[in-house]
Amino acid sequence: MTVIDSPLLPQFIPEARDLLEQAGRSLLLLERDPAAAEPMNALFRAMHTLKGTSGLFEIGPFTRLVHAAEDLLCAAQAGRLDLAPAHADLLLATLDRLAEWIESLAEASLLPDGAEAASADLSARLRAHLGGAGQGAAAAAATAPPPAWLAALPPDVLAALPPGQGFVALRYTPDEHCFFRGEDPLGLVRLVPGLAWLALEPCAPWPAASEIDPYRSQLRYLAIAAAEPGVVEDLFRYVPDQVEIAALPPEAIGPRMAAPGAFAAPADEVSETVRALLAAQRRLLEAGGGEGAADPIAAGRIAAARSAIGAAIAHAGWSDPVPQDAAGLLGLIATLEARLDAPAPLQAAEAPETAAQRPAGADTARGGPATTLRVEQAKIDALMNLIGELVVAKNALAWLSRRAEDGSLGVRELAREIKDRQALVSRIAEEMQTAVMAVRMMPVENVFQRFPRLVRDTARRLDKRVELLIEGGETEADKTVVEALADPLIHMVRNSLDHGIEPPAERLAAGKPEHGTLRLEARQGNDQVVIRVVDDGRGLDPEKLRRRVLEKGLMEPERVEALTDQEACELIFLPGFSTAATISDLSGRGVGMDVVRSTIAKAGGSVSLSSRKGEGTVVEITLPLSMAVTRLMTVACGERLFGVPMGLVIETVRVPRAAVRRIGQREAFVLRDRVVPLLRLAHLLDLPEEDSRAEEEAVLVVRVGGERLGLVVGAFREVMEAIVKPLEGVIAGLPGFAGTTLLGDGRVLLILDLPELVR
Amino acid sequence: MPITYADGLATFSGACTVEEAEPLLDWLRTTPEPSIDLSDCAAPHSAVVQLILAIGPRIAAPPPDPLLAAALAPIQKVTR
Repeated sequence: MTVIDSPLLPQFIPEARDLLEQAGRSLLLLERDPAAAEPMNALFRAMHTLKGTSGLFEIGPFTRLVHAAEDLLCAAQAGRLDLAPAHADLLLATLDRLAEWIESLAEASLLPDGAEAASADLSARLRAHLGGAGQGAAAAAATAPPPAWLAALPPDVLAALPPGQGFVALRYTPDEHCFFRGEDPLGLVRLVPGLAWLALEPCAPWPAASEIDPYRSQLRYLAIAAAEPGVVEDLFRYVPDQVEIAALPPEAIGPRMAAPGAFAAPADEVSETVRALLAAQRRLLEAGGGEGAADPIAAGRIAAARSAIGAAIAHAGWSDPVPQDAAGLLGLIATLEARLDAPAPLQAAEAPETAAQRPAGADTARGGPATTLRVEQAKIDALMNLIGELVVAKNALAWLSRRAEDGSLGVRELAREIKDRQALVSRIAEEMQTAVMAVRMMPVENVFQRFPRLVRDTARRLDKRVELLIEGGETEADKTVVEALADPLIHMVRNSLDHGIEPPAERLAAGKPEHGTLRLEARQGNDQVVIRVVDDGRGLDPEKLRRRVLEKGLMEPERVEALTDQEACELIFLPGFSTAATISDLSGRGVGMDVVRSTIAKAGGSVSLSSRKGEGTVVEITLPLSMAVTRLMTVACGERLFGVPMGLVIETVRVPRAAVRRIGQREAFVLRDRVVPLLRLAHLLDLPEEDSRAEEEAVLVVRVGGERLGLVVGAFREVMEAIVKPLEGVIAGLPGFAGTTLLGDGRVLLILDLPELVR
Repeated sequence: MPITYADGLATFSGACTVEEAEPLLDWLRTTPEPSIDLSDCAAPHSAVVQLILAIGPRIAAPPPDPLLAAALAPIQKVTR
C-alpha cells in the first residue's frame, strides 16, 4: 500500500468519520423502519459523498468497497431489493471496516495490510445480494475466462503489439447521463498510461441527425494499453461497473511485427509536453528583461519557472538539479532542449513510470494524528471582534503611560484612568472567555450518537429486546466534558442492558411489555449538564447488595446494616463490587461502576443512582458545563496557599477545640447531630503542624467519595475563578495535586486532589 | 473560441468542452457537406467526438493524437 501524501487527507478524515457515523445512524433507523425514505436517502447520500471524496486519494480498496455498498443501496432505493437484517449486518460490517481504514489513514496515512483482500471479499458479499447480474465485472475479470469482447478485438491490432510486454484491454461503456456529472469518458480513456490502441463504437445504431441528443453519451470505448490491470482499475475507480478490464493473454499478442509506431506516440507526447513546458519557462524568464532590470516580481517569476522546470524534469524521468537563478535556469532549459532533440526514446518511454513511483517515497514520518475541532464561523468572528477591541484597549494603555510620564496627570487622576482601562480590559477578557468556551462547546449528541448501534448489537447478542430513546442530545457542554462522558456512559448503558433489562420471557412474566426501554436524557442545569440513564429493568435489590458487600468483606457489617435502601443501591459504586452471577463479556468484571464514579469525579462531576426493585434504575451524572474555568476556594496552611475546587466544598465552619473528639486514632466532631470525621491538611501534606493557641479550628467541610469530611486548615481565603492547568513536566504525576493555577501576584497555586489525598 | 465555423469548415482548437456539442450539432445539421479541421485539437470532449462519429463530416485534417485519429478514421469510411 502506498503512503498517501495529500494535503487534503487531514480534511478528508474527519469528514469521512462524520459520514460513516451518519451512515450508521441512518442504517439503524432504516432497520427499524425499512420503508422510511429519509434515512434511506441520507444513507445513500453519505455513501455517495464518501465514494466521491475517497476517490481523491490513492485508496482503491476503500473506494471500491464504498462503491459496492452504494450499489446495494442504490438497488434498495430503487425498490429492486428489500433490505433485510442480513443486509443491515453486512452494511454495518462494511461501515466498521471503513471506519477502521479511516483510523489507519489518520495514523499512518495508509491502508492496513490486507485491505485489498478484505475489500474484495466484502464487495463480493455485498454484490452477491444483487444477484450478481453483470456487477463487479472489474473484480471478476481477473479470474474469469477471457470475455467474448476480448476475442472480438481486431487481430491486426493485436498482431501489431510488441511482444514481451504486459498489455491490458478495456471496454468502457459509460452511463448515458455521464456528461451531466461532468465526466469525459474519452478524456478518461486517454489518461490510461501506455495507451496503444483506441476504438470508439456506438452502443446502438446512430439515429438521424435531427434526433441526436448531444448530451447523451452513446459511445463505447475499447482500448489496449501497456499497463498493469491494477493501474487501470484505479483510474476507473469511480465507474467500476461500467468498465471491463482484462489482461491480454501473451499468446494473443502477435509476434511477427514489432511495429513501434503505436508506442512512439506516448513517448513523443511526453517529449512534446516537456518541450512546450520548457519553452514557456524560457518566455517567462526572459519576460523579466534579464536579472539587472528592476523587476518587483522577479523572485516569484523565477520560483514559478523553477518549480515548472522541476516538474518537467520529473515528467521526463530525468534527474537534473535545478539551479536557483534565472541565468542558470535558462542554461538548463537549453541543455534539456538539446537532449530532447537528440533521439533518446528509451529514456522518455520510462518517464511515466518514474513519475508514478514518486509518491510512494513520500514521507512516512508524519506526526501523530492531530485532533481537530469544527467550529461555526460566527463564533470565530465573535472572537475576532473581541481581539480588535483588545488591541484598542492595549493601545490606550500606551497612551496613558506616556501621559503619566510627562506628568500631566495627578496621581489620583492616574489611578482613576488605570481603573477605567482595567474595567474595559476585564470586560473584554470576560467576553473572550465566554467566546472561547462557546467555541469549545459541543452537543452531547456527539456521544449519544454511538449508542443506537451499541444498544442494537448488545441487545442482539443478549437476546433481549430493547428500545433506546434519546432526549436532549442538543444540550451543549465543553468538549472535554463531553469526551469524558463517553466511557462512563458506555459502561452504564452496557450495565443496564446486561443486568438491568430482563429477557423478554421474564419481562412478560412480570407483566411488563416485552420491549425494554432504555432512556438517555441530557439537560442543562445551572452551570451543569445532567445526564440520566434510565431503564425499566429489574432494578437493584438492596438486600442482595448488602449480602454481597458482606460476603466480599468490602464494608463493616454495622455500617452495612445502618444503610438506607437508597444508600445500599449506591454500594455498587464500591471498588471491587460486581453483582452479576455470571461474568459476561459485556460488563461485570468488577471494574465497572467504581471506575465510572472515579472517571466522573476526575472530570469534576458526580454520579448518583436510585433504583426500585422490579421497576428499574436511574443513574444520574452531573458534570460541570465547562472545565476551562474552575471556582476555587483558597485555604492557607501555614505560609502556603492551596486551592480546593468549590464543587467539593459543602460549607466552612469554625469548631471550638473542645468540640473535637478523639475516636481511636482519628478525630471527629459533631455537626448538626452528625459525626463528621476530621483530617488535618498539614498532616496530609506532611507540613509542620501549626502550633496555634487559637480557640477555634477552621474546618472546611467537603464531600469526597459521597462522604462528608472535615478538613482542618490554617485559614480560609477568598474564592476565585481560575483556569486550572494540569500538572506537566517535572511535577507531572505528583500525587495529591490535581493541577496548578496562577495567583494575581504571580505565585503558583497548587490545587488539591482531595479524593486522592484522603484515600 | 475553441471551434470556429466558416464556409462549411469547422476549425477546432485546444480543448473542446461539452458546451461545444450543441452549437456543433446545430452547425453539422444545417451545413451541407460539412468538413472539420482537427489539426489543432488536443483534447476534444467525448460529446464532441461522439457527434463527429454520429454525423460523419469530412475530416479535412486529423487530430494530432495518432490514436484518436485512428479511432476516427474507420467510421469515416463506413458513413461515407
